[in-house]
Amino acid sequence: MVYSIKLYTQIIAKEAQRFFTYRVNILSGCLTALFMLGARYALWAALFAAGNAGQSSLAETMTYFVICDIIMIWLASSYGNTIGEDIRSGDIAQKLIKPCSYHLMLVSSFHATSMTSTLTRALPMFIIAVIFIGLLPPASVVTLFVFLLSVILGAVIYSLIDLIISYTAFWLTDYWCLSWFKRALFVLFGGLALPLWFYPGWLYEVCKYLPFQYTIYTPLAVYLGRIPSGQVVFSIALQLLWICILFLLERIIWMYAKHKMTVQGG
Amino acid sequence: MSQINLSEVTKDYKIRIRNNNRSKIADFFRPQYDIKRAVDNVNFSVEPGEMVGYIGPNGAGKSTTIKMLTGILTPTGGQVSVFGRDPCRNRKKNALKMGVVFGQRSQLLWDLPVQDTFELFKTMYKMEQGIFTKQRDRLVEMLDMSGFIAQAVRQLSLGQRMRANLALCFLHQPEVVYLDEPTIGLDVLVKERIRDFLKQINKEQGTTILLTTHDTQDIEQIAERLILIDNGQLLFDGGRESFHKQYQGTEFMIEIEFVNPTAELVHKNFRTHKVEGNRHSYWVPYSKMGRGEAISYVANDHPVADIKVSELGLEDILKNIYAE
Repeated sequence: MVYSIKLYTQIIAKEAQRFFTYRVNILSGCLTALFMLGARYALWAALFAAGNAGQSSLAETMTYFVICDIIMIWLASSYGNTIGEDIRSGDIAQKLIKPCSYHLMLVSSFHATSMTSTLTRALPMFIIAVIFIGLLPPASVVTLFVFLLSVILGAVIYSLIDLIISYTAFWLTDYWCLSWFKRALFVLFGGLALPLWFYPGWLYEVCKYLPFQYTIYTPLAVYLGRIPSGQVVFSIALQLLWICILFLLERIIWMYAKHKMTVQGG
Repeated sequence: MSQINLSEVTKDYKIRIRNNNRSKIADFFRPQYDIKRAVDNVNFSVEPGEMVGYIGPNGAGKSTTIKMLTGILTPTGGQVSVFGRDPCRNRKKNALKMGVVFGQRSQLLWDLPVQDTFELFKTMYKMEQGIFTKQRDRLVEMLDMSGFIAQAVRQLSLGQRMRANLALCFLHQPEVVYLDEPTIGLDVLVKERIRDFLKQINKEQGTTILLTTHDTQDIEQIAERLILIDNGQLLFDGGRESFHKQYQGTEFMIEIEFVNPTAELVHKNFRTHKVEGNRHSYWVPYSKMGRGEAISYVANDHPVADIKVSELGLEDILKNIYAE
C-alpha cells in the first residue's frame, strides 16, 4: 500500500513535470476550454431567447455544462486509448514486465493528466463562467457533499465501463473504432450532449436501465436539485449497485484478456 | 534447481488468414484462422551466472521465448519456470529480480532527463536511497553516461539511449537479465563498450544473461553457451566451441601462393579446389590432417610466399543453417 502510494505520487510528479515542459500545451488547453464555453453559451442563449428550451433556465443549463466539463476532465479517462495504443505498438510488453500493476500505472498517469488539466483548463473556465455567466450554487452544504460522493462513484463507474470496453482491444488489436463507440454511448445515454430532462419520456426510461447516466447525469442532477431529496439515497444506492456489477464483470474480462494476450511483434 | 527451466514448451499463435477468393463480407462475419507454432517443444535450462547467446533467424521464436520467460505470454503447452516459479503467476514477484531490454523499444521517459527515469525506477523497484545512489553512479561510470544523464531523452542519440536503457535494466541488481538484440543499430565503439560492460557485470555480480542477437561478434565475445532455434525448434544447445565443431563442416581449405609456378600437389589428404599458376587451393579433411601439419607439408617442399587456412566463421555457419 505504501509502495503503491509512493509510486502513484512519483508517477504524477514526473508526468506533471513533463507536461510543464511544453508551455504551448498549457496555453492551447486553456484557450480551447474558453472557446468551448463561449460557443456553448452562445448556443443556449439563442435557444432560450427563442423560447424553445422547455422547463429549464439558462443559468441551470449553463451550470450543468460547466460542471459537466469540469467533472469530465476527471471522468473521461483515457485508459482505453492508452491500453489500445500500448497493444497496437507492443509497448504493453514493457509495462507488464514492471514489478507493479499495470492498472496502477494507468490510474497514476491518468490522474496526472487530470490534475494538470484541472489547473490549465477547468480553473480558467470556472472563473470566467462565475464572473461573466453566473453559475447556480448547490442547494445546501449537504447537497454539495452528496454531490461530491456521487461524482466519485460516477467516476468509478465510468472507469469500469471504459476498462471493459478497452479490453476488447486484446481481441481486436485495434482500438480506435471502439473509442468512438464508447464516446457515443456516453453522449447518448450519459447526458453528455444534453441534460436528460430534455429527452422524450421513452428515451429517458431507456437511460434509467443503463449504467451510463449514473456516471455524469446523476451527480449533476443531485447538484441542481433535480432529484427530490427523498430519492437521493436511492440514486446513490443504484450507483453502488452498478459498481458491484461492473467490477465483477471487469475482473472476469481482465482474467480472460490476460490469458488471451498476444503481444504484437513476436 | 536451475534458475531458468523450460520443459516441452510450445506456443501457438492464432493468425487470421485473409483469403482473396472469399468475399469481404464472408471474411468479416466468419473470419478464418490459422495456427502458427512459434515455439515447438523446446527444452533447456540455465544455471545462475551463465551467459547464453540465444540465436536464430528472424521469426524463429526467440522473442516469443523471452516473453514467456518474463511472464507476459502464457505457453500453450509445457512448463516454464524462473526462480523455481511460474513466471505468469508470479509476474510482479519475478520482475523485482529480473531485468529486460527490448532493443527496439525504450523504457525511458521521453520528455524528461535520463536521471528522472532512474528515480522513477528507484521507487518502482523498492530500492533504498543508499544502494540506489551507489548503483546509479557505478552504472553511469561503467557506461560512460555522465555527459548526458541530465539531458532530455528526446535529445539523445540511439547509442546513448541504448546505454541508458541498459543501465536502467541493471539498476536494481537483477539476478537474471534478458536482452533482446541489445546492440541493434549501434556503432562499433558503442557495441564494444556494451559487450565489455556485460562481461564485467556478469563476472562481478554473477548475473545470468540471456541475449538474442544477430551480431556474430556479440556471440563470439559474450556468450559461452549457444542455444540455436529455428522455426520454433531447438537445433543446438551447448558450448561455443562444440558449436563450431558440430557445424564448421568436415574440411578446411588451405590456400597457397608459391614463389614460383608449381605443379599440382599430390597428397592422399589433399583434394584439389583450384590450381592457377602459382596460386593453389585444396580441401583437407579435419579428421585426416591438422592445420599445422598441412602447412608444414606444403612449406617444407616448396618456397612459399603466402599461406592461408580458411575455416567457416560463425557468420558462415549461421548463414548455412538459416538458408536450409
